[in-house]
Amino acid sequence: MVLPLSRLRYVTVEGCIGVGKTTLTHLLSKTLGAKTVLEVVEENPFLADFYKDQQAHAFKTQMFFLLSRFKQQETLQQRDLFDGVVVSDYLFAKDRIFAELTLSPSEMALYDQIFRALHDRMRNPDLVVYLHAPMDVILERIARRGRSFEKDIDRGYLESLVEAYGRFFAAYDEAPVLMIDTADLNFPVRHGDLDVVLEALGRFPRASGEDARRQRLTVTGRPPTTPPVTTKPQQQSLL
Amino acid sequence: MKERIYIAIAGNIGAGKSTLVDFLCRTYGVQPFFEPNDENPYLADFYQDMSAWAFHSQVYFLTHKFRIHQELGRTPGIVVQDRTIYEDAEIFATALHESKRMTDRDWKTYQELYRTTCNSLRPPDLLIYLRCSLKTTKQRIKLRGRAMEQSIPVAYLRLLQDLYDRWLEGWTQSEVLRLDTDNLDYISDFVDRMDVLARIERHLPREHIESARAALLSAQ
Repeated sequence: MVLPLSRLRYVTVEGCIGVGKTTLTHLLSKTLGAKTVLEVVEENPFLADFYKDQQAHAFKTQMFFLLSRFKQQETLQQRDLFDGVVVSDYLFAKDRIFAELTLSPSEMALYDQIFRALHDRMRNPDLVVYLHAPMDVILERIARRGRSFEKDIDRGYLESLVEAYGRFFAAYDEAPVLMIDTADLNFPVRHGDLDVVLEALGRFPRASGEDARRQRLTVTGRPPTTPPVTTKPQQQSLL
Repeated sequence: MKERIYIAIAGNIGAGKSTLVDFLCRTYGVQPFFEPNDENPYLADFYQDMSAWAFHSQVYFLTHKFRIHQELGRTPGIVVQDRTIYEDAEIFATALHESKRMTDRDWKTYQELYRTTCNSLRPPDLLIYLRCSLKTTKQRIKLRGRAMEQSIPVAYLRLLQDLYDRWLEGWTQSEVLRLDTDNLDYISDFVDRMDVLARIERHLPREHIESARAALLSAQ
């Protein structure tokens, strides 16, 4: 299949841990014939200490992640990876969502100065697909994929993470955001569910430039009653 | 004609940086870019427990210095800076690491930040390196009587001096004018002053110096 809209050259899929970012990223790039860029989580030498004493090690842990993410993006941009269409499973700016959860106010102020300087040098995506789902669904998905290091993530932490994502995208104005409620969507099993996303990509964003960057479209999928060919979105609204 | 001439003054504690900065700024009628005087919120913690807080404190200094470099990059005409971001990392943070006051893990992360921020900075057109003997450094520290400086051990001053020499050996980003300040008196001695100015201006584009002088004259 060809890309529904040639103006989308760089699409990023975002959302909380376990919501299905990487699955959708793979499916989208395959369907669109795009390159896949997945986040590589470099081994963070501060992480073990961070789990023992969050307060003492949060800033160092976070600086390591920020610089590691920056390095990755820098390498990608230098490698001309953006020659073709790219679908990625992370946004550089997501680093700030995690920083907000762990840093003290004075650390956050310092972090922000560095973050802004680095972020200015990043290329923004043309579109962000922001996946969300109810907490029970997220927990179920995390349990199903059974990654050992995710086993002990507690519900309270995930809830504050989901909230932080919500705040982040409410204020985000660097690219149009397509918000998809994935509670009733099952991309890996029902391939037709992908049409919900493709259909939305075919008509969104409607404007370009400054106006487009603040555009939002919310899409909620409906579970198919019969084996579907296409799934029509149940509800759409332009916020 | 180049839009901006950026002169950076580097040197150890007591080498005579602020005196030269002051003199150059008066000569060319420009505002100096000094080290930030903002309170580093991590300094008190750092003095309590150096290895725990060296990273925070150094990242704070580096980030502030980075902002000064950015501001300086937006300023037209002749720009004179007292101590560069390079010295923050190459001298002071390195000294903390080499004297085991900053852990390897913190040091690597700090260096990565330094490399990353430095990439986007424009180097100076001329780096003036002020150097004096350790004996002179000690004398000047005593003479100006800043409480913070009195307790710096001589071994540490020597380490800083060595790091300055090492850094300058590897520096390739701009021309360097090295001035030995042991016997140099560019404040009260007119001959020294003219000599220093002539040596500096040999490295600067002539038309820029003249236009700065003309602007200064017409303002008087």
